[in-house]
Amino acid sequence: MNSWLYLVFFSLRRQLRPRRLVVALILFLVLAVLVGSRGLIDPWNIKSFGRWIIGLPFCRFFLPIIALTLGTAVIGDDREDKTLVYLSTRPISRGSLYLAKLFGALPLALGISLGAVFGLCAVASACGGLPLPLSEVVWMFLPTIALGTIAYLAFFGWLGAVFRHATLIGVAHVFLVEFFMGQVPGVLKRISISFYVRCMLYDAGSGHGLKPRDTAIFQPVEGDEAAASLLVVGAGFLLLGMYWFSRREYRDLT
Amino acid sequence: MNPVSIRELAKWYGEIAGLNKVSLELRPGITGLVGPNGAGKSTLMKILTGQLKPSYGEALIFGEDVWKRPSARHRLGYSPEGDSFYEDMSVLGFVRAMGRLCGLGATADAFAREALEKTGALEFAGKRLKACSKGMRQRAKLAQALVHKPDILVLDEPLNGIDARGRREMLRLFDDLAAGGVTILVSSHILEEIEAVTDQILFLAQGKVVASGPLAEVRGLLKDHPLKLLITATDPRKLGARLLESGLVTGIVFKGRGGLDEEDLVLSVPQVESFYRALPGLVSELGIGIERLVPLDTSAEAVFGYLVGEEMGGGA
Repeated sequence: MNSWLYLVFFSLRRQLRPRRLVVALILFLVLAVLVGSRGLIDPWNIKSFGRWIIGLPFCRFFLPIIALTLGTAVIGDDREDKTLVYLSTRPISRGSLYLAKLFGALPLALGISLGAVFGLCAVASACGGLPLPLSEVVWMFLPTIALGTIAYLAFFGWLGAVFRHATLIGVAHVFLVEFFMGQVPGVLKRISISFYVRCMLYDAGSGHGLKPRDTAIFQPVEGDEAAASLLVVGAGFLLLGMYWFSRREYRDLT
Repeated sequence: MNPVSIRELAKWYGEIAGLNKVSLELRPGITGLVGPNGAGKSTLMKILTGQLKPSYGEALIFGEDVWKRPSARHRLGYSPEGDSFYEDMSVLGFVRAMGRLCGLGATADAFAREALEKTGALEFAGKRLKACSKGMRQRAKLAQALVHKPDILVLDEPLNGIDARGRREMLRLFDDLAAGGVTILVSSHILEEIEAVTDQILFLAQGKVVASGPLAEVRGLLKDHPLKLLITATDPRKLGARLLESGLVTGIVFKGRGGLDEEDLVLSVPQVESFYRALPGLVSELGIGIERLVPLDTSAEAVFGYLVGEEMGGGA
């Protein structure tokens, strides 16, 4: 157990690479400038902020990109650097090793996504005057972002364990499935994680008029159902990743 | 119970056999693993360290299947061939971290320093790995294999990049560890290195163990390849004629030494033990002096050449 906990800590420390944090910071600054400048011209309300900032660029681009960067690196970094050999020859089962590495990435992913939401809400409050106290706005979006982060991270972690060039596949997935498919009518969009994230978001902000623009194109499921779906997706891909990694042989380690 | 038992081990990569029904036992001490590229050395080491799953058979560490029971790796240390590291870590930090991952808690720092001292890496313990020379990195790699004081060490080309003095130190370290009861499996492409550290050699070719045991015994098994012996004698022609007459040698080549009438004999000896028993009597009978007697091809390289030749169905 000690060595497993140390591996969680070790993995978290390995994830703290400046390059990754810079990517997150740049994306956040772009969004913050957008929120600030638009808020100064036309003040935000929960409905517009939820739809145009949290629902669109944040949940369908920022969140998956951050989870993609961290998730594919869970196994991908050690595989790329050929340091996985040092971990896979320790007395830790493969499944536990995968779990520890994913848990090591989780605090950072949650820290970045929740921190970014807090920052954007703060900018919107300061520049556009959201009609609610900052803590209430943040609390409204927090469960959605937290569950979305977990689901995305588990998915991209699994992708990193399966494919050598998981980042490229992940980027294609973000644009084709999470972003593009979310725009098309029909039920196909339900295979994307962003669908359930947006359903939770609309449910959380329904009291403030936050809802899909066109329910003929986007028919949301209930908030609880969406939350349960995200939990199932997160847990499912976590277990799948553990199973896959415990059976997989990486012949290119040395 | 032997520290390492390998039973009927096979590993297939598609239609290619990486290992083909290999069975062997390793006892405490040093065993050298020799074989050409593609012989199956790396596959054997990777299975033995739990990185690859056998297609058939099992690899046991003190009776436990190393693939199925990760806890067996508590007793195993592995130094890979590749030169990959967590580059931004210090040497001490890296070895300490590997110790923590083996279950060492508060003692990890002391164990890491001890391992670094053994491998001669303590003097640059604070240096970042990316700033270390190849030799330093090799020592760090060995230290991480030793940090948790394993009973079994699997070392893949551990002396690559280490200077001559360092090699002597490492070989001494291996000797000390083996004397302390550690089972060491070491591979090297420089066969002289293996010979210098052990005479227990395991020859692999085309995924099979083609011979194992003390080098001299293995050499003795190769009846189709008589031992080549070089003799410098006071009267080589007289000695040569008597040896042929006695049937102790199957061939003689006279080899000039530069000076007039100065010749060495290169003998082909099929039965080494009989030859050594009979030689003193013959020499005494003929009144000839022997100045030098050197076996020319007991080296691992030569034996390996013969073995591979035999395995391929031809002679060497």
